[in-house]
Amino acid sequence: MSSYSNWNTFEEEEEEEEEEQDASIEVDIAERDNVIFAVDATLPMHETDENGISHFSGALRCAARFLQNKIVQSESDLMGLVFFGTNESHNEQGFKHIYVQYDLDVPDVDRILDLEKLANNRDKVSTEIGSSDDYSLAEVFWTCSNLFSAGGQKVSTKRIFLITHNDSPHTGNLTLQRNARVRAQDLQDLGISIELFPVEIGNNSFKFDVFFQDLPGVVGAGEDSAEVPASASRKYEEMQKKILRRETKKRTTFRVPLHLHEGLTIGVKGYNLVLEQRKGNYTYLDRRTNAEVRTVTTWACSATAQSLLPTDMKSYWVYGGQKVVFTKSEVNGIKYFGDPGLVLLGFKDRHALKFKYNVKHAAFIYPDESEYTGSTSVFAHFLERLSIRGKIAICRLIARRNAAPRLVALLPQKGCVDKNGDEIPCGFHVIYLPFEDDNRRIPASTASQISPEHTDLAKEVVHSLVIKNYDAANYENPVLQKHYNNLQAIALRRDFAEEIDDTTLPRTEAMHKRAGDRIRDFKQALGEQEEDEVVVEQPKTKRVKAVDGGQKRSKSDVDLSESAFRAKCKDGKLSSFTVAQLSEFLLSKDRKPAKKKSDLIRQIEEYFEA
Amino acid sequence: MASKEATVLIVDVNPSMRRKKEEGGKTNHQRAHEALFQILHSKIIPGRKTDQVALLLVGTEESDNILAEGEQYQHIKAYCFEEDEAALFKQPNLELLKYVERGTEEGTAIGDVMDAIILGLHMLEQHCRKLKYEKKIYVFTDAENPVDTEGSDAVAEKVKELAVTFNLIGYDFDDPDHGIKHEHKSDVKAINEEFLRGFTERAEGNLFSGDEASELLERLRSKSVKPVTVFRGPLTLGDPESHPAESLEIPVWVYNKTAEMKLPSAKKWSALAEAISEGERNGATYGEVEMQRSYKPALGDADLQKDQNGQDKSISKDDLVRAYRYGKTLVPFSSEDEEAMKLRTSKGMSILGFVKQSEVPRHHLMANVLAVVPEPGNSRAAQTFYTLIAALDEKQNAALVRYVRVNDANPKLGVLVPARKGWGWWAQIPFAEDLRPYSFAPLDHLLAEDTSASNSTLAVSTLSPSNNTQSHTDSPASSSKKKHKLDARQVPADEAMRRMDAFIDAMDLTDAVEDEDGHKREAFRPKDVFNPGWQRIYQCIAYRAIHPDKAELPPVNPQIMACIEPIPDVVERAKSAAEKLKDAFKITRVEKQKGSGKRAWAARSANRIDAEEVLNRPDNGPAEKRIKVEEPMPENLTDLTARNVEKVSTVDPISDFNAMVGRRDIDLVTKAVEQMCEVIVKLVTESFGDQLYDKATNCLVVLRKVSAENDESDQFNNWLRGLKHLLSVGESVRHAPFWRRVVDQQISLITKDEAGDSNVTREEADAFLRAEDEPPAAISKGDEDEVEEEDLLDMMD
Repeated sequence: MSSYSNWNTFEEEEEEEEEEQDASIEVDIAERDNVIFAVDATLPMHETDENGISHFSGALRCAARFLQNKIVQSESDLMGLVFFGTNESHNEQGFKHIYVQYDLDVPDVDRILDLEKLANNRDKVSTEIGSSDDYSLAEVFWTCSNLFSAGGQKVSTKRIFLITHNDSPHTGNLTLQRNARVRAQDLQDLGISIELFPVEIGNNSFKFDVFFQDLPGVVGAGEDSAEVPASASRKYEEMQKKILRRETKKRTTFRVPLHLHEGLTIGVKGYNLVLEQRKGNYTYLDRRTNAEVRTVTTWACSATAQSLLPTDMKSYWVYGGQKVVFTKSEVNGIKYFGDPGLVLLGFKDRHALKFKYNVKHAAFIYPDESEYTGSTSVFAHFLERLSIRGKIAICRLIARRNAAPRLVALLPQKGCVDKNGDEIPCGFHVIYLPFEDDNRRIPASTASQISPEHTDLAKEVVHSLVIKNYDAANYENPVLQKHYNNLQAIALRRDFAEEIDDTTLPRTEAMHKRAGDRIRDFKQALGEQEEDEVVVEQPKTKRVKAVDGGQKRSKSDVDLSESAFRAKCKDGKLSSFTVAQLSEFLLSKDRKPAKKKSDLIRQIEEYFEA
Repeated sequence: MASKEATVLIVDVNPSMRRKKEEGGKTNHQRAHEALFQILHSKIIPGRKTDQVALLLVGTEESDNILAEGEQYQHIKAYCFEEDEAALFKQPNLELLKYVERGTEEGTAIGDVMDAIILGLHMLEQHCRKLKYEKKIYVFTDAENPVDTEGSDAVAEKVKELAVTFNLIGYDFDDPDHGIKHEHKSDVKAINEEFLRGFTERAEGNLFSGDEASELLERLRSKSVKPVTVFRGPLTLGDPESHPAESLEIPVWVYNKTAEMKLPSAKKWSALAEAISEGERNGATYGEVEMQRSYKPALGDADLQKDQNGQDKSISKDDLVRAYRYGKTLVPFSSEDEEAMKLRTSKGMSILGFVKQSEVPRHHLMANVLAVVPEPGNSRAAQTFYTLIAALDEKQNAALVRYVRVNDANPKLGVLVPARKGWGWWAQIPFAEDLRPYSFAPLDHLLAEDTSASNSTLAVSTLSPSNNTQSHTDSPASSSKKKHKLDARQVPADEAMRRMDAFIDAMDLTDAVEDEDGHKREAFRPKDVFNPGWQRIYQCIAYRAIHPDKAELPPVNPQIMACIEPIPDVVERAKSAAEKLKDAFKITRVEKQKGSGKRAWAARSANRIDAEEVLNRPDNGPAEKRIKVEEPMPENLTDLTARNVEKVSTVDPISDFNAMVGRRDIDLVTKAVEQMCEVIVKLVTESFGDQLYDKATNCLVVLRKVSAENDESDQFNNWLRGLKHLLSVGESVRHAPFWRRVVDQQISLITKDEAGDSNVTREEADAFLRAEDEPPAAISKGDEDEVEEEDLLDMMD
């Protein structure tokens, strides 16, 4: 592990291993979302809005944007596009004035590019497809349901996004209107919902109650008529709000017995309700051909140069300067602390679970009937009593075969819907407790008196900057958002990646507006008292140390600029920096510093050579 | 970077240490060496070069130390490191450990422990000079031999002056703290013990009895990690650049409060190298394994992957480019581009705002906890920081803080909560992407006294007196209370709750154990439990290192296991409560099916009752709308096709119909036939012209076949008669052409020859198609299931 790149691959290997374990037991068939955009292509739709964009183009852009989100979120979702009120006809049933642009298919780059081209080329659309008012909405529905059934997804939601300006289609033609209703009813029976995107042209408002309110299957229709669909432009806006989130499949991370007492055992399944989402694995391509490349890893014996099979290898640890060798089965024997399972050790009050008792993300358990029938019933009562009495359970967890035992706390969670409308599942959160070995001691810090008056001022500051309706779901990971945008830009051959809205940055302007005065008051109060004694002692740190033959220099005397490093590198005098300084420099260049000083120096030399 | 350490280990090997005790237990010599072994073991594990030791044996025949001269400092032997004989201190190695494990030496002379202490101090002074070292002296002695007490005050002063941590382990010493007093001491020992106790006090050192030391050291301490900052920088509120007066910028230092100590990972060892004869082994390469990576085209013919010489085509690492998946497409994204396009961030901790502590769910803490403290020596920072933390504490608020460790590092989001001493704890919380909104069925209804509610419709329908001659009639009370499928409770709800409470009380850990002073305290506090995996792994490594010839591994130290096992007293105490709880529920272990791995799992899951599935299933809801949470992997293709359709639609009636008929979980054939009949009528009567006639005809063919095969001939025949009539009268006459198709294709009644449940002859069937419509009265032959004209017309609406 001499260079950074090697280090990198090592770590990835480990990560992959972990992922694999996580993925072990079961993978669910995710619910797929199938959406058909049914876009009105009659003449009024080709009128332009105040921005000079036709409503028809707007609909296509929305569809393109929808695809861009889908491609990141869930690659297996399907999308189709149907125009109606066209002059030309293109569909399997031979219906007039209905033009199937895309069958249902998974999102891909070509389709997005094609859609954008379509959206920007009005003439082509209007001449090639044309417009006609002589369509039948019933046939539009019929076409859509045919596309859905051809798509063949069994476990799925099916939605039609109906984008139209016409709040009263087939006015005066009762037969056509009746047919449309019958078809809509059919769709509803099949679990297909219709989401209406009312396009308002000029000052004409879209009257929901004329026709669509009574149409079966339309979202917001029926008895609860209070809910009128937002206008199409509003809905587009919502869709523009990009939240690129890869959907994750529900999978168990472990499935173990929970031993409550001798002879009293139930089954539980473990899940991860929170887990750090990463960029996803990359694949290597051959730069010259863009063909996929697979990595072949082989092992060779350094002494004999023979290649090694897994059975030819043992394991060793270094101890007291010597290599201590064990066979694979011995290693497993060392790691074996019993079969996988949760063993109840006892109960404590909730407050015994301190904030600082945390080492990794929590898991979540839910009963499992597959090993012990009756588990769910016992689990429900166990959960209920612990929850009501404000208790936690302390257990030992061996999550998988040969996994190291951990001490965990089971924190009861009653099912409910939180204030943000999210469903909170019922079960136990499994909090991994630190061992004494995981606990670090913190050096004593500078003491200082605080006065109640100052605290009151600080409370004012805190009070004025309280985030209302805090919800973790409001903060997207800017690194991932940026990564997806970059990928999208490269895939769609754009010059620039879209800027992201980094919700994790403090909104400083708003903060100053809300609390600027109070922060100033707080600062001033502190300042007045301390006017005389703002003496910053030079902290006594080990960085203040002897370098170069006893000549003492403090850290601040050492020039740590890049040019200083460059100069020293040129003179071969990098060793005059401390290991910490060298590491810091490499970190600032985003390189993973090695451990040894000589390696660090070589890394920096490589950096300047490059 | 931890500071340097120098430790002097002084062991009394005088003959008195080897005196056998009556019980035949360990001698003090053995116990002292075991303790010494643990100290060295715990230094060898982290293997720090700057942690060095010297070993002095007191009571050896020879005298080998730097002060030995004439009559001075006799019978003290300093351990001599092989590789560097002149060195006073060295990093402990395996040789030294083995030496200690063997019991070092059995001294035959009489040596003075005080001499050794002075010698140790001298060595520390020489070795450490004025450099910063952590200096320690451990003395293991039984104090049975003469000690020269002259000038001991000066020695004690020297210990303090050099800032040496002095530890004295006295074997068979009295232990007033634990009320242990050893009788029948020799006069020498009594005097020496008194003197050493006083000396240790004057040197501000620690005195342990032999028992105490064993207890302390057997609990193998993991490597102690020196606190190092992971971040030194500003904690900001607001924008100090644009609003210097209206913002806070507090210099803080951040430490890890917790950090999961990972078990040491093993390296690969080549077993093939073991074939090399001992003389030819090269220390540097022997047993080492080299990892070789090569890159090959992932796809294509095996032939294409070979070059002209039949060699595998390998791609040079320089020709590789990373690619990420974007939909189906692999998008090349070189690491240089990735670097150039990545998110730029600047180092710091910035407060976004404040939230209630209760708004951050405990399970949202994603990783280890950091400690945030004001920059040391900066009183202004300290005051501002502590005041802010105090304000948070009083308001029970937490600060939402974005944390960037170094410039351009990935930002993390976390909460800063008040901790003791005015510090803050910071822990990472999830981004939106990290939340996984899995849904789970609620469990509350299993708590109700009567869990039958959700199954009531089912219970009623099974009891409906469709068959009056049904002989067995359950008592009304028990039959009307059919339990929920997952309800395993055997006693009333409140009784079950009471038993659960009793069990919870019996297993309480709050005052479950006693500390040294006899005070009750909480069991399994994190600070009392050491990582058993880590202890075990090093126990095995040390054992194998010292006994390379022994094939077996040492047994697990029971003390290691005890810290993660239920406490026997607590288990015993809860026994009766657990028994009662157990009787309150019917729990059955599912017999494991033979086989292993994924296959066995799939087989099991195919048969299992899945709690979520059962709970999620509405009793009469349409299948399409149900959210299926966990679909077990299908066992075979039949499972795949037998999807849970409950309604024949007009869109794809044939598939739906087949799916319904093919269902194995419930019999839906009759229902399917009925619905198919409706669908055909619908298709025909709503067809624009003959547009849907083909579809309807196809349906009719399938319907007829299935009806004949599944004892539904009667139903089919009656319906077909009705259809014929329908298409010959009233409004539907315009669809009469459909009937002509039926006649053309000779789709007639199902005959006796085709199905046992039919009473229609071949002739009757032929006549049926030939004949013009008969009056409806003639259709029904008193059959209750007849299909009336009204029914057919109703279906159209």
